[in-house]
Amino acid sequence: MTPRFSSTRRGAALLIVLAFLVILSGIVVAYLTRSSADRQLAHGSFNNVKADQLAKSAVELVVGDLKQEIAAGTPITSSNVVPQRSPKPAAGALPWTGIPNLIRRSVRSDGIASPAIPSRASAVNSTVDVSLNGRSVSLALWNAHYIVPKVSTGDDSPDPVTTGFVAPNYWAPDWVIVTRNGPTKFDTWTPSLADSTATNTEFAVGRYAFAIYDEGGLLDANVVGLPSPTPGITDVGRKGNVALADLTGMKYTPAGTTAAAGTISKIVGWRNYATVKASGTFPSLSPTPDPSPFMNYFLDRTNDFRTVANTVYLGRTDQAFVNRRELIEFFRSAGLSFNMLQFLGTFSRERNIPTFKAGTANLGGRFAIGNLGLLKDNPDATQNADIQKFFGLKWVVGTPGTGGTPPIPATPGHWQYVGKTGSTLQDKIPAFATDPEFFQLLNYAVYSTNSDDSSHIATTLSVGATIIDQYDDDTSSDPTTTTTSTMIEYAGGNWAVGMENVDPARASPSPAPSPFPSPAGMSPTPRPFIAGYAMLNRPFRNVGEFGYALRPEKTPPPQTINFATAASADAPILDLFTYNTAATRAGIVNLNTTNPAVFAALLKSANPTEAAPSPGVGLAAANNAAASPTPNATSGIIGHTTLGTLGQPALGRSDVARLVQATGTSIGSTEEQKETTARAIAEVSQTRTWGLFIDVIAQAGRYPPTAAGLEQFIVEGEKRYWLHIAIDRFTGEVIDQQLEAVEE
Amino acid sequence: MRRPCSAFTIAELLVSMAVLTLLVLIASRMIDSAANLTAQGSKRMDADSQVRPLLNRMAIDVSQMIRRSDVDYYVKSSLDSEPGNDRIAFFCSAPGYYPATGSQSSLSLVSYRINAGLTSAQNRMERLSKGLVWNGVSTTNNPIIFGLQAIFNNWPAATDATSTDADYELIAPQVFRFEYFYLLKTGAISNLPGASGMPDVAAISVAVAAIDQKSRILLSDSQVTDLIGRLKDFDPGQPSYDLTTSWQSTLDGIVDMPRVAISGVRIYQRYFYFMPSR
Repeated sequence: MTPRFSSTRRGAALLIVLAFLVILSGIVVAYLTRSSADRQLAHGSFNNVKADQLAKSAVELVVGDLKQEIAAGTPITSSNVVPQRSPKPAAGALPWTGIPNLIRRSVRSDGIASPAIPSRASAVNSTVDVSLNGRSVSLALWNAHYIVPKVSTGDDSPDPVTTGFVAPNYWAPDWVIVTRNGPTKFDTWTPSLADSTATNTEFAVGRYAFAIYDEGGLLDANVVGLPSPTPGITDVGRKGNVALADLTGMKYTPAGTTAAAGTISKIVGWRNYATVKASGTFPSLSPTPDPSPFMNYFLDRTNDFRTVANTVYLGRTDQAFVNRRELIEFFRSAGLSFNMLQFLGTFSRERNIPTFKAGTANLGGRFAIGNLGLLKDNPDATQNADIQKFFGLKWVVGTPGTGGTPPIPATPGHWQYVGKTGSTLQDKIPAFATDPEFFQLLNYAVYSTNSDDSSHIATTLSVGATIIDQYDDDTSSDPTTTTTSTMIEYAGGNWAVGMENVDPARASPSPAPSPFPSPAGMSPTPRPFIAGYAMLNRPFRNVGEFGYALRPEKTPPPQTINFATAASADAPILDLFTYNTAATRAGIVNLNTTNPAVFAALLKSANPTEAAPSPGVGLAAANNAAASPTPNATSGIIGHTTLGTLGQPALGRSDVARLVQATGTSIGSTEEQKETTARAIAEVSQTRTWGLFIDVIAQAGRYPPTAAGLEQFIVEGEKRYWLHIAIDRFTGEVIDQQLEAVEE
Repeated sequence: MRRPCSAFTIAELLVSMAVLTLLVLIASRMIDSAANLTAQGSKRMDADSQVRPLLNRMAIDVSQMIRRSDVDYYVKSSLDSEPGNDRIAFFCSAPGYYPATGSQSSLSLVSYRINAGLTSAQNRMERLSKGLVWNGVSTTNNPIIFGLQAIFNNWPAATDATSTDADYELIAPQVFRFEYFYLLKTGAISNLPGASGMPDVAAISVAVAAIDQKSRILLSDSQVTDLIGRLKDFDPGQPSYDLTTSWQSTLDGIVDMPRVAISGVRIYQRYFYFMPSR
C-alpha cells in the first residue's frame, strides 16, 4: 500500500528541481540578454567602422579615377585641361545656367566623355529610391554644403535648384554598389547581390554616391573680402591679390542681390581680427579705419595665405575657416546670406609654376616681379651678385664728357648685359634649361625659344629696359649724366635704352641747351618723349602691369606690351612672371570657373587708367555680372573659357589675353582700359590645378535574401565625407587635401 | 488494527542524505560554473562596454581634428615624451560644452587623459570637450587661438593630468592606462609626429587597458598606479604589436597583486586613420 504522504514528498523534490532550473534559467537568460544587447552594440559599432572604411575607400576610388583621367589626358589640350563634366551644358546653352559648380556626380549609364572614367553607378538613386529600412538622401541633404544655388533665396535652407535636370531624380547622385569584388555597375536587379555564400563575389557589402564640385572656381573665404571703410581706389584698383576682390560685385540671387560693403567687412573683422585690430563684438566686428595693416598683410609678396598671420591683438589671433562647416556656421551666426556660399570655398591651392611651354625649357617656377627692385644705380658687391643672377647685368660707372677737340660725350652709368655668369658682353640671349634670368625669360615668352637667340637681343633688352623704367620710381639717377633711363650695353658697341617720360638728361626743349648735358652731350641719349605714354614709376602690383611697358621697336609709338588680343605674342609674359612668390599658395582662382559672379568680384573696382584712378565707368556698369546671364565683360570671359560654341577652356594664364579680347570694349576702348581685365585677373588666376570638392556618402549594409530590386538595400551604417583636394593637372601630383568628416 | 507507524531506517536516511548532498554539490558546481562563466562574460562585456564608446568617441573626435600647421596640438612629441599615461589635446569640429552666453562656434577643444590627481577620478579616463565661442564674442571665453603653444598657454588644464576643469567628464572610469603612437605617412611607426607635425601622421594608434568594476575594487589606487607604471610605454624600436603583447606579458607575470583582479584587465588597441593617402 502506498503511504499517505508519498505524493507530497515527490512534490517537494519537483519544487526543488524547478527552483534550481529557475535559478539556472535566470542566470542564462540574464546573460543572454546582456550578450544580445552587447552584440547589437558591437554590431552597430562595427557597421559604423565599416561605413567609415567604405566612405574612405570611395573617396580613394573617386580620386583614383581623377588621377587616371589626368594620366590618360595627354597631350594636354583645351579639351582635357579641365575635368570632364557630366552633365555638360547643352551645345549653345549658357554655361552658368543650372549648377555652375557641379563637375559630375555618380550617375547610371554614365556617358561622361573620355578621358574621364565613368562613375560605375547602378540604376538606383540616392534620393528617389528609398531603401528597405526607409533611408534616402534628399536633395537638400546633398546640398548641405550650399555649393548648389538655392531655390529659396530668402532663408538659410539648403534647398537646391533643379534647373536643367529631369524629374524625379534631378541631379541627385545614383548609388555605386560595392560588392566583394569592388564597385560594380548593375542596371537591373541581380539575385547574387543578396547571396552571402562565401564564394559569391557579387554579394553587396555597401554602396556609395558622390558629387564633385569645382571649389577651385570659387573665391577662397580665407583670403577674399575687403574691410570697410574700403581702402582707397588706388589701393584696391591696382589689385594684385585676390583679397582685393570686391565681393559687393557678386550678384548672388537671380534678382541681382549684392552684399553691402559692411557685410563683407564682418568677415574681414572676424578673420583678420589681429591684423586689422578689429573693434566691437562678434558679428559686428569693425576693422581699424587705417587700411595699411590690411594692405600690407595681403600685399606681402612671400605670404602663401595657407596659414593665418602670427599677429596677436588683445590676446586673440587672426582666424581661418578651417573647414566648410565652419564657414556655414559662421554665416549662420553672423546672419549673412547663405546665397553667397555658392561662390565661396575654404580650400584652394596652386603651385606657382607656369603652364606655358616652348622648346626644351623646364621651369620650376615663375620669375618674381619684385626682383626688379634690385636694379638700383651704383649697386654694392652683394647687390651686384644678385643683379647678375636675376638679370645677367653688371653695373658700369659713367664717365664724364670732355669739351676738347673733338668733344667726347659723357657715357652714362649703365648696365652691361653679360649673362648670369661671366663678364663678357653678350651678343645673344643665351640658351637656358631650367632657371632663366629676366631677359632670357622675357625672350622665351615673346619668341618661344630657350636656345641661343641673337636675332632678338636688341628687342628683348630694349623691352626689358622699358619694363625696368616703368617699375623704378626715378628717385635714383645716374650721377654722371642725371639720366633716369635704363641703358644696357651689349656686344658690338650696341645699346638698349629704356623709356622715361621725364628724364633730366633729355634735352628739352630739343635741341637747346645743346649739347646736353654739357660740355659734350652724352651717348647714348634717352629716348624722345612720347605723348600719351603712361608711366607707372612704381613697383608693379601685378603681372598685367607689364602691359604698360613700351615696345620701342613698334611703330607708331607708343605701342606697349600687348595683353589685349588673343593672338598677341606677348601673352605668355602673363604666365611667366608673378607678384607673389610663394611656391604653393592659397586663394588663386581657377581661370576656367563657370561662375560669372566670381569674375565680377575679381574685376569690380579694378582701375582702368593709371593716370586717373577711378572705380571705372565701364566696370561700374558692366562688371556686376549676375548669376543669371548678362551680356557683359564677365560673361564674355566665361563664354570664352567654356567648351561649346562660345569658346574653349584656358590652358594657362597667357589665355587671359584671349579673354581680354572677349570683353571687347565693355570696360573701355583704349588698350590700357581693355587690359584692366588682364591686370585684375592674370595675377590671381591659374589653370594648372584642379581644386575639387568631393562629396561622398557611403552606406554599409546588405540586401536581404528576399530582396527583389536594387532599391531594397538594408542600411546598417552611414558616413559622409567632404574631401577638398588640389591636384596638379600637369603632373598628377596631389598638392594638398583636406578630409572633412560630416556629422549630421 | 493499528496501522504500523511508517519511518525511515537509519540506513535510508544516510543514503538519502548522501544522495541529497551529492545532488546539492553537483547543482552548486553547475551554478558556480554558470555564475563564473557569466561573471567572466560580464566582466568582459563590462570592459567592452566602457571601451567601445570611448574608442568610438575618439574616432569621431580624431576624424574631426583640425590639422593645420598653424593650429596647435598638445600631443606626444620631442618636447614632451609623456612617460606613463599619455595625454592628447587638440581642436576639433565636434561640438562641446559651451559657455552659457556668447555665440557658439562650430569648434571645440578636446582632450583625453587619465586623471592622476588624488581625487575620485584618480586613474580613470577623462575627456575634456570645451566648446569655443566665435572670435570677438567675449574677452573671457576664448575662441580658437592659432599658433603654437596656444593650448598650453590658454587652456593649461587640457595639457596636464591633474588640473581640474569643469568641462572634464569621466568617459571611461574603468580605463586606467592610455598610450598612443603615430603611424607616419612614410609607413614608419613613431612616438614623434614627424617633421611637419600632425600633417605627417597617417594614423594614431591608441592602446588602452581597462579593468572591470568588480576586479577594480580588489585593487587599491596605489596598486592601480603601480600597475600603470608596469605597463611600459610605446617603444618606437619595437614592432607595433609589441605594445599590447608586452602589456599582456606583464599582466601574466604579476604575482604580487590579486590574480582575480589582474585577470580582469583587458587590453584594446585601435588605429584612427586621418585621411586617404596621397
